[in-house]
Amino acid sequence: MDLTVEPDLNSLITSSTHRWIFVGGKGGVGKTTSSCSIAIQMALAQPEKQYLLISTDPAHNLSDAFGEKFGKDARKVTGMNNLSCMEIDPSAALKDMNDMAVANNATGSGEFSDLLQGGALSELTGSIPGIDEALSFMEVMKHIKNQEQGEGDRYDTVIFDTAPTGHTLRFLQLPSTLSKLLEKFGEITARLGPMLNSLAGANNVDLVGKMSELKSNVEKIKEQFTNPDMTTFVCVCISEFLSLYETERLVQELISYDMDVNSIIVNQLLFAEYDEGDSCKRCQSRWKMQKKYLDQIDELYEDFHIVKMPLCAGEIRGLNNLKKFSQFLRKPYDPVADSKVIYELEQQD
Amino acid sequence: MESWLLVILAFLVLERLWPLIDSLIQRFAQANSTKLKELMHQRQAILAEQKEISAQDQYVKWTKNNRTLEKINKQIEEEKKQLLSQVDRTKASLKKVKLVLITVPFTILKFYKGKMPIYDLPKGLFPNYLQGLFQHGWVYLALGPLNIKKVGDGTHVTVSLAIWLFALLKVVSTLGNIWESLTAPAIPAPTITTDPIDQTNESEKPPVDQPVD
Repeated sequence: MDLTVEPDLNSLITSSTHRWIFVGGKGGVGKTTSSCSIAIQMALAQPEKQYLLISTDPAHNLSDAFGEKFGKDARKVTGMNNLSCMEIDPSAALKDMNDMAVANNATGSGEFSDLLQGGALSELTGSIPGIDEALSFMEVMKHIKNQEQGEGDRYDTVIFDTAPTGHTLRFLQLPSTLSKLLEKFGEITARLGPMLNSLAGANNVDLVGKMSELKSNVEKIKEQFTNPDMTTFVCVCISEFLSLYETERLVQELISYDMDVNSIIVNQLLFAEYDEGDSCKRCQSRWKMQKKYLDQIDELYEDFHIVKMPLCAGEIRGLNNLKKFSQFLRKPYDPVADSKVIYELEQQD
Repeated sequence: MESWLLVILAFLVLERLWPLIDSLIQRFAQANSTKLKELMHQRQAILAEQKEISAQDQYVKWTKNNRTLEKINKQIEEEKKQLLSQVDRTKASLKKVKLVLITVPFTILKFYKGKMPIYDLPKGLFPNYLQGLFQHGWVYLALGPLNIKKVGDGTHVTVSLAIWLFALLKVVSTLGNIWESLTAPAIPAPTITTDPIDQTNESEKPPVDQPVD
């Protein structure tokens, strides 16, 4: 039996079961370019399906990558009818929540109402650590609900352009943390349920009901995130020590969360020995260093799909450039035959 | 009479020595955990190796060692848990053994032979209620108001086994307390420093244990 793993993402791109794909790694390694590339290739490979690319990074780059503005609501990418993008904006979402709270308290008066009018809720909650992750999580729950109830836009696969490693790990820990928290809360509400409901006040909020609904949703997410047929994580790195070190940390953490991780995209490779003409000394020595770490990646992650992506002459921005670049996720980059592409990108910008 | 006394003394010694037997058996169980010892040795060896190599120059080896270390740490935790549960089980079994072999027979024996005279004291040496207590045991105090038990006639008052044992145990435990207080490590008095808050330069602090570029 042949146990070699293909150096491409064909199996993921043509997968019909994956619902959640996370793309993450250290800052500045090309997570956004990689997630856009995966999303585009999936959308091209399976045109009958709908894809959503969500940026959960507080410093959003999706708009810059596609060269068009995306907001907190999903919008189709111009030129693609089955790929939408959205950027989760904590401050805007919190402002909406504040406005809703103001509207609900419009009839009331007093200090609390005055406080809300000043946007205190959004300011207070905005400063809570991990609020970005919590809002991204809420977005996941919303999509699950939409898919189940057939409401709103339905997407077959959601691709996450995640924040740097630390944020992402916190986000992925949320289901199990919330699950434990809600379990504890459930024990309390079982005893104090009616009292808690009466504390919820005149708004007739069924606090216990809401909590149990939230719990079942969280359990569902937890189940889906740990199902390798439904969820996978694509690590992105560059061929340098610190990036490799963080990738290893990420891989080990993901394994400890029971999450599927079997693909690594190594970006910004120079392939200097195949350069047309004489490449500079700096490129040659940097490529030598990259090769050293590439060998180590191959040795450490022998059962992973290791996709080697070239460093392009220009920025990879706009749908056309992304399409050209992303083809190497399906057909491994050949430094001799495909070298023209990396210069073509520059000409288009 | 003397043979009974010897049996009782033997029980007494066994009861006193039981904690020692208990800890010896537990230590034996811990010492026999070869897997844990082996894992600890492996961990030590890997840690020593990790100190010798540079993460940046030998990244593969360093990472593989880290992975192995993580696995070993998990195994050690598991082994420790198993060992603790084994020790708990042994403790529970030993408790039962002690109950069956020492506590119950000793109690029965004390109850059964409680009134057995151990030695005589000249009458009049102690107040009457103490002499009654020596002769009849604690029951004399309980039935004292009813005046049922009386100090026997004769020139001597016998001391019963129950009272003798009670006195002996008191003496032994007091001696034990004195020994413990004499051999306990002294608690050092808290040092009062008047030094200002540590103002060492950031650069003088030891480096953080993580790879650097």
